[in-house]
Amino acid sequence: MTDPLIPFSPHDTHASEPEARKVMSLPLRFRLNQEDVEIHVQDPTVPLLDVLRGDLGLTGTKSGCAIGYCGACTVVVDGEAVPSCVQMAGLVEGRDVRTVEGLGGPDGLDPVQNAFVKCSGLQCGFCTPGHVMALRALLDEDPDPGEERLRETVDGNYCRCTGYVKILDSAREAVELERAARVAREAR
Amino acid sequence: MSTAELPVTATDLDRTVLPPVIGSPVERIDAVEKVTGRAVYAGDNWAPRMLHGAVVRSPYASARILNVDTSRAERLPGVHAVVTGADTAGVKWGAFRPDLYPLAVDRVRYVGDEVAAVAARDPETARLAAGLIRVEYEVLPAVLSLDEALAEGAPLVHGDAPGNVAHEFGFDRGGADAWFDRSDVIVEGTWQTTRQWHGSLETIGCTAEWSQDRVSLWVNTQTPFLARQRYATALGLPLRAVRVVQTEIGGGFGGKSGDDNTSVICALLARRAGRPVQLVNTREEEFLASRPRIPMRYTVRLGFTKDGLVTAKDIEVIADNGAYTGKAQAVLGAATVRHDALFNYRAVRARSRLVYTNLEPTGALRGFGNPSADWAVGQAWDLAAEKLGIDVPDLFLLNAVESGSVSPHNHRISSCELKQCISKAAKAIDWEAKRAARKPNRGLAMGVSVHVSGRRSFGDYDGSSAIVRLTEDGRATVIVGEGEIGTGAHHPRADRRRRTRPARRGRLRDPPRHRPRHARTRRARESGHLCRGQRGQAGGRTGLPRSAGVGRPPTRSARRPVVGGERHCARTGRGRRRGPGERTGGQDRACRAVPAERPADRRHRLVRQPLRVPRREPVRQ
Ligand code: FES
Ligand code: FES
Repeated sequence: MTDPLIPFSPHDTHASEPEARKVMSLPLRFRLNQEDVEIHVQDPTVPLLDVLRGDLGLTGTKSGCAIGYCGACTVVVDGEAVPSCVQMAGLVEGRDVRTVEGLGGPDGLDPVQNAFVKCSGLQCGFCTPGHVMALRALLDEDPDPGEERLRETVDGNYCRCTGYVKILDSAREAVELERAARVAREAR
Repeated sequence: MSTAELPVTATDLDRTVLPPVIGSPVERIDAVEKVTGRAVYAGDNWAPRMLHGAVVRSPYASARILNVDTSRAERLPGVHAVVTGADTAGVKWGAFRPDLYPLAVDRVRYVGDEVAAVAARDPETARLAAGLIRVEYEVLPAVLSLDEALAEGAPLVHGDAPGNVAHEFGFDRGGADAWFDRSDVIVEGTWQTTRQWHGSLETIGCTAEWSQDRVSLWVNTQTPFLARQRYATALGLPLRAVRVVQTEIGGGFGGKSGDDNTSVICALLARRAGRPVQLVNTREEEFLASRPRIPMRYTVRLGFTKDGLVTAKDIEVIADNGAYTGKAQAVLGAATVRHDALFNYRAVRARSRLVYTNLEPTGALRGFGNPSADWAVGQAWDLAAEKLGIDVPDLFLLNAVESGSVSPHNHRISSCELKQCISKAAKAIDWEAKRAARKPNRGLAMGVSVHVSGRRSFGDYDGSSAIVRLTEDGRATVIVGEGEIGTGAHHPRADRRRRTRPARRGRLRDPPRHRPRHARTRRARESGHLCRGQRGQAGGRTGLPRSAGVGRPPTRSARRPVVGGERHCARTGRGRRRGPGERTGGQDRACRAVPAERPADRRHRLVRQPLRVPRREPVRQ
């Protein structure tokens, strides 16, 4: 018996399970933190945030509001900071996604992360990955953004704890550390 | 020379061998975890076979529940448990006045009241199932403001609270009437505050797992010990059967102090499903189910001599409790009494009432009643300053308490620099200049306030003590009830342990937390001391598995998604097995290699994980 209120039931398909899965899931391929990934999603309109956190277990990206306001879920898609809670997963097909897990490495933090550690630009830390990713995208685009742009970027992410002073300090420090890193790279 | 190189002698134990503390920058011990996204908040927890919960809430402010039909939700594939009020212990709970059922029984009392809950294999299915639960209500008249609630013959929010008064108290110390008679200037006014939400960036959430008749709750609560007691009551369990482990907390501000039902419902779902369940509020639910600041209507009357000396204060407070009590009773206590310690009142009189309404329950929010009270009383002081022709800071200075003052409640003030503070603040904000340049219809104000300062107005909270246990290896375990909510509370503890060296040999170290986390400050690294802030954990000795199951999500390699078209589970053969009735999707979308059983080596791997501290060179590879 089908229940009209239950939108879908696999009992109806009479298909064996692997077949059913094939019918129901769509492959989604994209580049995630420098790796090619292919996953299967049932619904390409689900938020990228849910795919990252739920399917891929990358919980560094946080959900604060889930409606595109707070910036806690910020990831970088093709160099642009986007709130992943309002980014349809299907639309990242073939694109390059970076999350906070992709920054730094086993033996060194990203300059932006370093700046937050150094300036204590965090309290509860829930907004921090979002801030870090937004600033990362900014510095990739413009390694020497003026105060104005730094403020604009920080403004896009809510922080309910710090009052932003230390976050702005961290942002300025990030620019400095980024410059130092660049100089060191060029010297090599 | 780093501290580690200092020879530790018996005299060292008495002498302080400390680097300077105040004014020297310290790196937060949790900073690296937080900037890398590795810190595990409530919603980041993960356990094998974990389900996700969703809650059905009342759309009516006041209604009788006639029937709850869960059959459709139960038939939805992927749903593992549905609970209603009938599945609870039927016990009311609450910090002061037990009036809240874990899930509504017979009545709902505000828009958002929890009626039923579902656990399913992924959040989408859970929400879908929640939408399939049909609840029949008989809508009842509601009281939606203080005036409606206090009106003659108003409908009662709770049958056992006549006149909708949940709590009432008052005092008259020093004979207020007599002092008002002797006053030259009397000012009076009424001020009203509104609900204000914490808006923590992280919403309230919990992961619950049962082991026989005992439950472990991984909760983002600010007060693990108090929460444990309350959850035990709500679940009808002895204290020993409940363990509360504090996860990382994405902001609390009073809203995560364990007065809401989320964790209790999560535990009920996990018991019914026989599997771990995670329940995290959506942002919308957070506005319905956290406990915002209490709206208070504050009527203040102050008496002064013509020289500006305060004589008496008389206040009447009516506070909007909302539908359930939580901590509002204590908050009201603070809002009524605490500011009496600020000025040399000869007499104080108060009458406070906590009033039930069919609105969202209220509770603690930054300042615990003080901001509302000090704002209202401060306005009355402003009126008085105007009437007396004395500048506000001067009037404050004339009347402020100092060391040795005794309040009308007979609280002896042993140390106090309120006067110095007022003078300094007036200078720092350039009060005189601002006052001279004051424009009409532009606010200019200065206020004073006092918070806990060694005198708390309720008894079961012990925030200032610690248990220190010296362990077999010469290190120390510090057990404290004050939760870390982003304030860096663990740092001073880890720091102090290093600095005070109670153990003669060996070093100080925290016990492993519910999952191993290693953090070393720069100084700790230099001194070779490993320090870890301890996350509050209440009920750790219940013999429950020490979080072998619930912790961070599987490591990257374990959860690496399908790469290059090959499905991980096909390769390892370890994919979660589905029952014939289960639909794929949600959690299973990625088909990740989630072991069906908790692997024996998981705990092992967690415990043995090598200390991984990223070096912090400012160089990006
Ligand atoms: S969670 Fe995406 S913007 Fe708030
Ligand atoms: S540090 Fe808590 S929200 Fe920013």
